[in-house]
Amino acid sequence: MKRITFLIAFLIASITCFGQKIEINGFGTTNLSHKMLQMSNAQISDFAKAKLHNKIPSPGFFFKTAKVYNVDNVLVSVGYRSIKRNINADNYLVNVKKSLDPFFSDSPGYTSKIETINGKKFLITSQPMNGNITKAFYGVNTVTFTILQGSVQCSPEHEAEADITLKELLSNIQYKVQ
Amino acid sequence: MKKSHLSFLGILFFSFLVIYSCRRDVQNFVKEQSISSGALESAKIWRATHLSALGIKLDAKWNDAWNAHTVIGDVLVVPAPEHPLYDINYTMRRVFLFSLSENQVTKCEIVEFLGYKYDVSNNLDILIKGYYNKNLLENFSGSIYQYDINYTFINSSKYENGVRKLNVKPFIKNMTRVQMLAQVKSYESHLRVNDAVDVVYHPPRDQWPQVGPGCVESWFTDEEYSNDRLTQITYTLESCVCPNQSSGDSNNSSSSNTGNPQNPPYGGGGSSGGGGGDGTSSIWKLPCEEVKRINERYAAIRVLRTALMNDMNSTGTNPLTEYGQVLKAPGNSLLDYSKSTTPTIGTYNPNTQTSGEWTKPANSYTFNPTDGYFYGLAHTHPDDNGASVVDVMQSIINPYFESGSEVHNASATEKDYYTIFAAGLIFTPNYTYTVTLGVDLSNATNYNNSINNLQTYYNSYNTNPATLNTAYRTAAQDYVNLHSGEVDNVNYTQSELTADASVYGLKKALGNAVNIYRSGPNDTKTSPITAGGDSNTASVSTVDCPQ
Repeated sequence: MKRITFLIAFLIASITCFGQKIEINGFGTTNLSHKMLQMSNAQISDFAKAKLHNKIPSPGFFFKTAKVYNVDNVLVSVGYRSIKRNINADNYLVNVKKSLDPFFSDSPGYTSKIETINGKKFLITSQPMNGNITKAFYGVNTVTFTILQGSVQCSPEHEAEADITLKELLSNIQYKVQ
Repeated sequence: MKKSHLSFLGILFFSFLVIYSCRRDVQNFVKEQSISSGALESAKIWRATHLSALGIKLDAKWNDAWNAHTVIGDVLVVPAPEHPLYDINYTMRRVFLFSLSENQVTKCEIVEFLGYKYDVSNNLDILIKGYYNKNLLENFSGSIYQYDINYTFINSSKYENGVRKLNVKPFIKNMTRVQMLAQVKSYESHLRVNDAVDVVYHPPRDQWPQVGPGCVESWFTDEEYSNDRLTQITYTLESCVCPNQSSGDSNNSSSSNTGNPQNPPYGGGGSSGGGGGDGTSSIWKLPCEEVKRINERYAAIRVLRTALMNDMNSTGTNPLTEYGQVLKAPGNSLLDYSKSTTPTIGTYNPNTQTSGEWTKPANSYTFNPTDGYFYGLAHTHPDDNGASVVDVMQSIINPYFESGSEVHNASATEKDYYTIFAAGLIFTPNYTYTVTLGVDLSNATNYNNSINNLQTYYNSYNTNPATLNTAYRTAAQDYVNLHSGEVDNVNYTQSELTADASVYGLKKALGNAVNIYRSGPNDTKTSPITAGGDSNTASVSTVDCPQ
């Protein structure tokens, strides 16, 4: 009996740690196959000290609705916001790109592009920040009028790892359909 | 102990008691002063009980007190500490006047007698008597200033050859040089009245002594009215008090030390515009006040906008090209802003040029600095983002601190003036931004602190520009993230989002080092704008200024 209890607990823990599903309220879901740990503020601070030269590149992405995860050497934040129902949601990504580009146009290494991944459009920006790298992503669910906003943040030596994490995260996005 | 010894000791003790109780009168007797110890003690008690904790505690030289017989009765005159004056044609005495009734104080005033080519020291008794009997101020030319025991201004009057000039209101204003210049500019800008006001200076402006930062100058200020309308204001430099500087240490002989709060400058102490000043200078750089000055010159800014935007729009080939114009004063002095000039103009492509490499185009404009903010940099932004950290640094902050720059090499007076009138102008398709230096003119200490604040940003930017640039960009991105869902291109456009994000970013990066003003492309005046909050609450709003 004790062995069965132990096995059940182990399985639950494994499911929790690996291949977690991330609920993005109103927007949809995504998941990552990598081991990920949702982080508290203290853990974020410890992570920054250990792996981000003691600086969080873009703390603004840890907004109220955002959940922050540690995926190996990458800090992942995923959150959602609502948009007005009378706006043209299709234009959302274009508007964000147009709004951000002027601020980063003279920042070496900045890129921004609207990409289609698994049939879904995302705006992905990449910018060096505080000696680290922030890759921001934006999506829009035009049915629920909900925005996806998030980031992967890492030190420059782990950029490839961040790219893989980002691609998997966006590839697995499933829109919520009301 | 024998009875006789006891009696002897008793008599000795009693004798000492009598001598002790009369010691002040003995002292007065020795000094040939006809004042009683009772009046003196009453004055000390009256002063102690009427001094406010927040008032200025002007020192009283009790040992030099004397009695004066006036039409209202005996008055105890107690001199106060004084300062040397800049102009030898003026003499000044500052005294406490305690009105006495049966050796008890009933009232006290602090009075300053200022004589012009009239020796108030030699005629002080006459002046004090005349003060209580206005008809007896024969031959007196000068001013009399009244204050209460806390050295708060009550009233003043002006005399010429013994005749009171009712149309002239004299004040003593204690200001830093930068406050003085701001006030002069205000009068020259017809701030107080719609008609021109003649401004007269003694000595003339080109003979003003050089002063270090933080020095407080006292100015005799005579405001002359005609039919209740201010027609002329005369500034006469009276003295200069510098921080951490011993008497005679400065460039002019009238300097003295501000370290003693019991010996404040004349005119009611060290507060700006003191002695009945209108306080204009102390609030001059507050956004709601500064915007009035900018709007007085806004027509010139609009002319410049039209010219530069026309150039930018007519090019069309490269939307990133910025067109700009350096705004600078002609001549050898930053203060010499009275002439028109044709400053350097040019274009700048952020993709191919480093900042400062402005290419001069074929067209040229004439910008009249008399009507506009006269020093800084005006340029266009093809997008609607306002001033960035780079723009502010290169337009207005770097020139102040950068070794070898025209402003850095200027005199202290000119540099003070620069902190008031420098501005960076950014023209975008939908907005005009005016960014000025955030300096606090309320007093010398606050002014120096705000210069130190600017220096901190300058040092940070020029040590590692990425720090402030990143602060600006991340804050702007936070604003875009929070408000992008509001863009409906009707009530809130993408251009407005960019514009607001730039203001939020700049305020987050540079804080109170800058004042930001914004207007629409066709507006005839601008308004102060501010930002606050964090990534969850970021907001930008126009400051609601009282009309």
